[in-house]
Amino acid sequence: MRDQPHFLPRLQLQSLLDLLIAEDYQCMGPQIQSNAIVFKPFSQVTALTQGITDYQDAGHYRLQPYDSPRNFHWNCSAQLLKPYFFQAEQVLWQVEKQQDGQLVFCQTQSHQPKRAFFGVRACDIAALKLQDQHFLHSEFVDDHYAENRRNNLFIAVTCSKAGANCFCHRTSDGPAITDGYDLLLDELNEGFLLQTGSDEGERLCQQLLQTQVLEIASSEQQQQADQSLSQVRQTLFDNDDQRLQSHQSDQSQPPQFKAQQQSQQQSQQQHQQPKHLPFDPELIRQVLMQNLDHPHWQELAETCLSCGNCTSVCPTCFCSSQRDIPELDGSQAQHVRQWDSCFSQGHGYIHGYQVRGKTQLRYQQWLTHKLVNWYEQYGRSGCVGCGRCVTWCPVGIDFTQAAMQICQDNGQISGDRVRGDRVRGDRVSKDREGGHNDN
Amino acid sequence: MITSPTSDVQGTLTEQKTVQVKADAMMTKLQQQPFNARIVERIQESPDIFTLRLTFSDPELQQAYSFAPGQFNMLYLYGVGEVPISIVSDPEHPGSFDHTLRAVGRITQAMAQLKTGDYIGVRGPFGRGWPLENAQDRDLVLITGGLGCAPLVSVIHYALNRRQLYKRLVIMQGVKHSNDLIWRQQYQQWAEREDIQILLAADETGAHWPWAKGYVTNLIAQAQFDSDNCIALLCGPEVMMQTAAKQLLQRQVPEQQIWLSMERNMKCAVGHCGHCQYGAHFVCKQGPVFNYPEIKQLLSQAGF
Ligand code: SF4
Ligand code: SF4
Ligand code: FES
Repeated sequence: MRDQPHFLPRLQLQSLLDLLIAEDYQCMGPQIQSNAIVFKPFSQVTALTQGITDYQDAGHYRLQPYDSPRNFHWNCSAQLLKPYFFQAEQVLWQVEKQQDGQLVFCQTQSHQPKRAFFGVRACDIAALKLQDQHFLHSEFVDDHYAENRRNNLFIAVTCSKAGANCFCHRTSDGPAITDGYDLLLDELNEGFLLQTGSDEGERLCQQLLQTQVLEIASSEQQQQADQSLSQVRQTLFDNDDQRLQSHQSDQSQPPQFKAQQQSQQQSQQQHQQPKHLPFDPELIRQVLMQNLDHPHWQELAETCLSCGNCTSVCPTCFCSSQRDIPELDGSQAQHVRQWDSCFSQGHGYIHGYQVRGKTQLRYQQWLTHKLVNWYEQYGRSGCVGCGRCVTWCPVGIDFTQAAMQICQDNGQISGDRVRGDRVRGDRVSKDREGGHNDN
Repeated sequence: MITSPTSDVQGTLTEQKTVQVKADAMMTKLQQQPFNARIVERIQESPDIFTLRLTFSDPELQQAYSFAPGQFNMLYLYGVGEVPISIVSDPEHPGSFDHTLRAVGRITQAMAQLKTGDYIGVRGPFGRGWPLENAQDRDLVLITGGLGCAPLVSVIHYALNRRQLYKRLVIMQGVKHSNDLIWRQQYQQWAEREDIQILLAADETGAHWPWAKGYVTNLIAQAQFDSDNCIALLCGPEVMMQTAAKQLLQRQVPEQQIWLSMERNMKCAVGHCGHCQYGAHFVCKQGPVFNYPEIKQLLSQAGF
């Protein structure tokens, strides 16, 4: 399964870092800031996250101590790659107004150092490919994005745990990392299994071999890494099973999404309560557009704050707006692009008329774009299963559950369909199998 | 000395090729950032509608610049911003191009203050225009309403300048108030021609309005065209286009022969900013002109 098993002892992680720094890479890695994990430049491994893990659920993110020397035992941070390539703010061009009123335009050039990103996950790689399709491989190439995408090194890390909001297994984007990396690390307590995925990765690996930084991975170490990955996969499927069980037990109960009205204690309880149907991208793709008048949209609209948190943490969302910032002396202006969201006021505005005046219509834009229309635009769903939009929603709306609920209540879904699509049969235990029939 | 004629031809070809490559490069650049353009004429069409006749101050750029009817440019007003506006003049008109604007938003209102001799930025052209090649040897049915007249004015000019390419020409235009009708004299002149049918309607009419009162879509029954051999180009409010399309279908016009110009919030015009999304379409690059079957499902759907 692992073709080139190398082992990087934990104490040698700094050597990898030193090598990259010596090769002029600016190293970016996970660090703690304001009780969350953010990516920042670093040059000492001691700056990296260590001995912590994250706990994520709908509208919930906490870092917790974790008794282990591991650096990467957490799932996705609020943002990783997107802001480095599709920047939150970007000057597109500048203009100078001359004395006689003529305008001289000049496109701004971005110049980025070589950068090495430590700790990139399966969902981050999948999302990056989607952003590349949009900014690099569609009709027009975005020069700024293209410049930011040059000379990057991705040091991916296989997830060693699955968060409650993760569902990359249902979008086929994880948890295993299969391509898109230069170096791939599987973290064990004593160090990392290391594989290469590109020429540059191979070159660096050879250097590390020459300096005797790398060892040969033992078959036991390989086994440990394989086991860890299957464990993660198992947890993801177990979470689905729990969702399904709870779905069957409270089908008759009134709808959820009351997190904001609940006391802290109650909401804590709700966090422990598993969610409902496992996410099914194919089903959603087929029926979501036909269910635009489903009453659940209204409920969602009443809960949603239209804040745009979901779209700004989403690693695939690409919307932006533009504005002009004139200099005070009146002779120059900058034309700036900024992240925008389909939840914002201006997104659907055409002189004097708002295409999506109501929250419900905005929520529909978000779900239908991401889960249906993206297929037509770029040949796949726009969701890579990272769960960020669920974690960072201030009122704890679970986007997957919302979509499934809208697609399911129309008699479009049956127990068989859920079971059949969900997992290979061996994971469905007998007693639960019986329970599907009345769904 | 005898020069070989072939080498001479090759020389000219290479030269032509270089010119073409250079023009292409200019056009690409012109889609990435605006270029300085001079207002050579400003025409007040109605109290709030005005036309800007523009020329790039770089003559080489002006020479290389080409567009198709139905395409648009992003017009940039210094320190204020960019706005998408369709090009109304004939693509073969040398030396300049026209934009007709209505002062309705922040940027167009500020642009209304512009005078002849002022400069603005122009980036473009963008989008898919009208399918005028498909339209040859067919009856041309043009239906416009409200403020949406500009994208079709380019077609009217285009067809009139190449009258023999098309069969009957039917121009239908609806306005809210009869005073909103611009190019009134032109309409009167066109109406006198036998090969052109003009049908105009106003919801509210003032004095001396020789045309119909009500919606333009009510006039479709009076339009004379060959349903089996026509092409219908629609532009205006979505409800009006939807009604018009339905009536055309009732008159047995095949749905593939109905084309609509859509409007959405366009910020980048190059398919990146996401604002112009219409379902899965990016209006800025796959539109603004769409074939009816491509969008018929979305037309009646609020929020898209
Ligand atoms: S829609 Fe949500 S779960 Fe899917 S990629 Fe975006 S943030 Fe992640
Ligand atoms: S339209 Fe909405 S969901 Fe789609 S990319 Fe833009 S912000 Fe994201
Ligand atoms: S105008 Fe930006 S994507 Fe179409």
